Amino acid sequence: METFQFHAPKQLAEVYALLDEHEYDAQLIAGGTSLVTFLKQQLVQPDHLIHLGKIVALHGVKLVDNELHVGALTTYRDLETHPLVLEHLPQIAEVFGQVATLRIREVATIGGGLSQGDPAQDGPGLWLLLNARVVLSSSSGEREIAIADFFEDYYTTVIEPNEVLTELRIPVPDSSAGFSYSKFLPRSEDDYAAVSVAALVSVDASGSITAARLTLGSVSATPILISDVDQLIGQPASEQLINAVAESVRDQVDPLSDVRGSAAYKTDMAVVFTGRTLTTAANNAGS
Amino acid sequence: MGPGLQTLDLGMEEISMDASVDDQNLVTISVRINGESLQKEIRPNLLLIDFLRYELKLTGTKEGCSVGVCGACTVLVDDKTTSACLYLAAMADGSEITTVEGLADNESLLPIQQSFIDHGGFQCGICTAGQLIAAKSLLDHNPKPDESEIKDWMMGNLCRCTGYYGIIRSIENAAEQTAE
Repeated sequence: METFQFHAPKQLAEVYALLDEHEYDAQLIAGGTSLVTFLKQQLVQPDHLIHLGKIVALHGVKLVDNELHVGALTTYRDLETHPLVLEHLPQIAEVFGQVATLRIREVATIGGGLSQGDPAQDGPGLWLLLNARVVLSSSSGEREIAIADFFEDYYTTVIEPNEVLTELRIPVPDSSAGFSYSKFLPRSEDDYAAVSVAALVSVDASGSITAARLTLGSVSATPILISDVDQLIGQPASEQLINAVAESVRDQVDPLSDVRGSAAYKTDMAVVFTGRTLTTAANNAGS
Repeated sequence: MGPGLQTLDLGMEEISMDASVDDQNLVTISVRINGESLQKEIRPNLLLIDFLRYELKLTGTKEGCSVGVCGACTVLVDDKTTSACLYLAAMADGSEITTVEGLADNESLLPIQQSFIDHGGFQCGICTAGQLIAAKSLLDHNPKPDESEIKDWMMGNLCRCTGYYGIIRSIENAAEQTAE
């Protein structure tokens, strides 16, 4: 690992000042579960490493106007077990309970995971499904960005070199909506997914679908929203309709061939897992 | 001291000498390790695993995969199970760290340690420090875990000897003993 100057500021203002001064030569670090491997492999070689761990203001989960506001340093485990999450957005606890291993979940942070911009993580697809927004803060103020506009490419987000991701804001979805998340893990339970699919489906008293949202992770440079799921609206879920939506993802995914499978195989699995996930979400929907 | 240990000491010296190369960037950290407070000047890019093993000579914690997957280097940082191979020592400033050396109270083993001995919780021992730390953390959070809770919690601690049944049995028995 190359050496660097290590900073551990206690206030956000100090972080902004360091970023303003060092710009592209500075790198923020939170839990480090991914970044330390990048540092070891010299994929990242900052002159200044700014550790956020001492900034108390970046911790905590709050409910504000029917939205969960999650501080960037909240760990995956905190989110998985937090009473407000379990009460209002149990979907998050379900997904984050399946991330990697407990040891990673106790250290990895929401802000770190988002900033990394890795589409193979579990978070990006879920945050896109839930229409979340992030707050990016700097010495010149704050801006709020929808997750749909946040990821640009593999490991690339809209975060500017002078900005810190300080908060994630997640609207509480309709409580009767059926949720399902599934991922294809051809190697081991704690691996990155080859394909991940998240779905939310709402139905009315007659069983007709009134709203549906579908996202895929791991199969493209960024998580992707599948608008073809709108075809389901206005009628009860049927195998035929769900299969049509599942088939529609074939042309929208662009996976990489790697140790988890060829691009063609992952594409096939994206179709299969989309069908299964939508079916489960529709079955979970209550009127 | 046997020849094996001498070789190990040599390795440590090499790394320690390397530590003084970038002295202009040194960071001072204060930590509590196994209940003992200490302050140390370290390289900013020193990993926690190397800090423990080479600077403090706490060689109970082993390095396995070096990428956070195998669990051999599991330690507690402020009560969180942490891969010491994925954590910079500088990030631990102000933290309370527990390694396998901190489990036993003087000469008496914790029930979980005795249970690993009594119920075949290890064979070669390379993963054992990490297994014990993870198991202790589990029992601190959940004194009476069932088998599926044990499997879920311990999933990230790999063992190539025991087939895991001995580890699960050890944790179940330690839990029963503590409950009695």
